[in-house]
Parts: sequence; C-alpha cells; structure tokens
Amino acid sequence: MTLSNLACTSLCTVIDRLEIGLIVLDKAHCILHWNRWLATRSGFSAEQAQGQALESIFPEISNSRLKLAVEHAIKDGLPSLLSPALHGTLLPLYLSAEDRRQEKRMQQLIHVLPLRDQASNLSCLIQISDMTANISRERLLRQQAENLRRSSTEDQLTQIANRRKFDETLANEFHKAQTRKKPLAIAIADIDLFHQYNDFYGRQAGDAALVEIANIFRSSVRPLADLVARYGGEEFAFILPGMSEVEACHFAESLRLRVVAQGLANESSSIAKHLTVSVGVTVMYPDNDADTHTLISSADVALYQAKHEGRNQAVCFSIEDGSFKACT
Amino acid sequence: MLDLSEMQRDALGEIFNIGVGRAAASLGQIVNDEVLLSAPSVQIVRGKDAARLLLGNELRQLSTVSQTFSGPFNAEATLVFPESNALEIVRLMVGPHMSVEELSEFEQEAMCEVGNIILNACMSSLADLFHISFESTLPLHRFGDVETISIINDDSERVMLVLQVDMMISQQRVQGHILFLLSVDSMCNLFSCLDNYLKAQGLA
Repeated sequence: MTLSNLACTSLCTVIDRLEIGLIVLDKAHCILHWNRWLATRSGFSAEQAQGQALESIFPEISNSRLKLAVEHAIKDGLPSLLSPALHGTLLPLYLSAEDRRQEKRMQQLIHVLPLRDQASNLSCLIQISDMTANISRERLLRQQAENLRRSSTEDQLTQIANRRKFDETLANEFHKAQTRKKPLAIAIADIDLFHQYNDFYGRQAGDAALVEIANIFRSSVRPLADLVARYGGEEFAFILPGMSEVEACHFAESLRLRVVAQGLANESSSIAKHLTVSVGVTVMYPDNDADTHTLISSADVALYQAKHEGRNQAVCFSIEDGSFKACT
Repeated sequence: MLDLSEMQRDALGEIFNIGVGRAAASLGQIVNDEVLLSAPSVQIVRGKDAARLLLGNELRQLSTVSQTFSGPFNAEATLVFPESNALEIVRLMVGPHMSVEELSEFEQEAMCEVGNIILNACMSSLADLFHISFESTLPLHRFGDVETISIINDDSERVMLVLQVDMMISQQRVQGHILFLLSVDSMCNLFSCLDNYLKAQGLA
C-alpha cells in the first residue's frame, strides 16, 4: 500500500466515522461520496447513492435553495448556509426507524461548500448537522422565558396585567401623551363592599368574583390601545390613551353598567342585590411639568367621591377646575 | 481615489443591482411572498465617515453578517441590519416578535442565511461581469453597535464601498433598510477591474 493509498483509506474511514452527514458532488451534481452517517439516516447506502444525481435521491430539493446553493458552489465557488429556522426539515433524514414511520424528520443545518482541485475545477461538499436537540432545547428555554415574562407582568389570579405592568405602561403612555400633546385618561374601579362579600361567601367565592369582574373589564377596553390592570386587592385601574373627558366619562359609566348587568348575586350588600363597582375617572393633557402622581391621585379622588355619594356610581374629577361630575 | 466618476458609480450600481435582484428572488422563495429589494445607491467613503453615516441614521443596535472574499482583490463584505427595520423582516421570516437581544441561535442562523444569500448574489454578479472568481468564508453573524463593527473601526482611513438597499416584503408590507459595506484591500484593483469592464462594454 502506498502512502497516498493509506492516506486515502484513512480519510475515507474518517469521513465514515464523522458524526455529521457528508456528501461530495462532482460538477455534474452527481454523488461521489456519501458517508455512513448519511446512509443510516437517509436509508440509502453509499453504493445506492454513488453515481446518482442528488435530485434523484432527494426529489424534494428540485425547487429548493439547496439546489441553488449547490449551483452557486459549483459555478461561482461561493459557500452557502441553510439554516434550520428557514429550511428545518428539508431532507428526509430520520434519527430512528420509529421517527421514519412517524414522518418525524430531523432538524438540519446544511453547509454547502465549494471544493477546488489542483486544476481549479469546482465540485461541492454538502455538510449536514443534526440540530434536533438544540432546537427542542431552545423551544423549551423560550417557553420558560415566555412563562417568566408573563408571570412578572400578569396578575396570577385574574390573568390581566399586574401593578408592575400598569406602572410601566403608565410611564410610557404619559411620555407619549406629553410629546404628542394628546389627552391621557385614567379610571380606577373598586368593587363595592367587597370585604363583606368575602366574609359572607368565603375567600374562594371572592376570588371567583374577582375573575368574573376582571373578564368583564378585559372585554370592555380597546384591545391594542388600553390597558386594564389589577391595581390592588379589589381595585382595577385603566389606562385610556387619547380619550377625551366625554369619552372617558362614558367609558366609566359603561363599566359600572356592565357589572350591574352581569348580576353577580350578592346578598351581603346593603346597596344592591348584586355586586356593584364604583368608578373614578380623570383626564389630563400632560404638559412638561405634569407627573403621573397627579393623574393617579385625581382618579383616586374621583373614586373616593363616587364611594362618598353612595357607591355604584361613576364620577369624573376635573384636574383643571377641581370639580366633580357624575358620569353618564 | 475617493471619487467615483458618474460612469463608475452607475456601472457599480447596475452590477450590484443584478445581484440584488437574484437575492430578492431567492428570499421570495423562502418566505413565499414577493420580496422587493431596491436598486442600491453606491457611495465610496472612508471608514470613519462610514461610522458617521451609520450614526447619522441613529442606529444603535446593529446586527451584521459578514463574509471575507478573496480573489483578484480581497474584500470584507458586511451587511448591516439596523435593529429597527430590516431585522423586522428576518423576524417575520422566522417567527414571533422579538428584540435583538432575544434572538436566539436559531434566528441568528437565519440572519446568517439571509445575509449569505444577499452577499453571495452581489459578489457573484460582480465576479460574473468582471470575469474573475472569488473564494469566500462562511457567513458570520454578530450583534453590536457602530463602535464594535471592526470593518469601520479597525482602519478608519481605509476606504470602502457603501451600498444602501431598501427591502420590502410585499404582502406583509414590511419595509427595511440594509447597508452593504465592502471594504477592499486594494481599491485600485477593484477600479481596474471596473475600468476593464467598462472598456469591454465600449463605455470607457
């Protein structure tokens, strides 16, 4: 055996032992080499594959970027990468017979590299890596990250935004209203006599009532514009960008009416036979000196007035002239 | 050296436009939608001015894909996707709305591939028309800001070609802006290839 024969044998052995798929194509796109990794995962032995056009083994590549990439390598001598995100399961390669039965292809990262011989003739090397494990790990991590993100901004019980999300959104919307010179309305709704409801029906029923009311509120806001958050125990707060005072008053009153219409029985209440809410609302055109604290405390003042006037009311507080008016 | 004649500028614009057209067709195939890439505008600038050009567009977070081409002249080609726009297109191709920091390896490889398609298409049309050939490294993806892009900061006196391309995916109505920086070790060799091409066309 000559030295170069030995080198060739070892090289073929090495290629066969590799834990990635390797295909070498000649300039007519016919298969010269087909390693063992590929044979076990494709179901075609090296003997079956060699001398065939790649397309006759894998008909699915006929209109794919892999074919273009091979042409690019052989004609222009430039390398290409086919990412799992964009091509994923392009080739019918399977980890096991079971996967093959279920048509569960492995996720692939494919490199297409030009090979230049001493006479500068171009051929092509295709390298295939199994990305299945990486991708399922990434999906898991992403799912966990999404869960974490949700739990840090969402109220666990009612699944609407929590106080932290409210504060963040308020800061953003306040800044937007300042720069665009648009109004920003805030409403705060509080379930009337909720302590008594809890004492009478028990904490579990109390939680169920909170979820019901949160659902009413969630379906009352403009999905992409507004935010409703659980602000405290039985308090909910609304960020309503761009609403005028008339619109905000109408919105606050409609919240109150929708809760009444739901008719959640409440025998513990001295004001009605069902659960009711009081709502305070205010609108600000924030100038440069304005702050969110004034906005929130104005909505709070309005809520306090609604409670003071006998509950099951919606009241608006005017920041400009300090007056109250009933919402209609 | 820093000046391109109108003829040279038009010729480079046209040559790269052929490549950009091919890239658009390949990208369209991937997203199953019409991808439109505008005819590139060509400028030639010093590295430090390129930084200003990028900063001028208020690009903070950048995502870049680069390949090093070697041949009659050696070139480091870098595609710059400003965070706010062109990256949106890649996100659209691969999935949900994410910020640059959240792009995982999965999307980074997709960025690499999109960059690879555009860079190969542009450089191969250049090679075709100049009757030359290049070898190239595989694409490399990086995140960073203007300070961390080596092509701009390594050697600020070095001149480079800057191509600006607008990208649009028609049905999704997503628009983006991509910068193609081509830092050539010998601008003279590129110009002599260009002049030969113009002569062969009977234009110079």
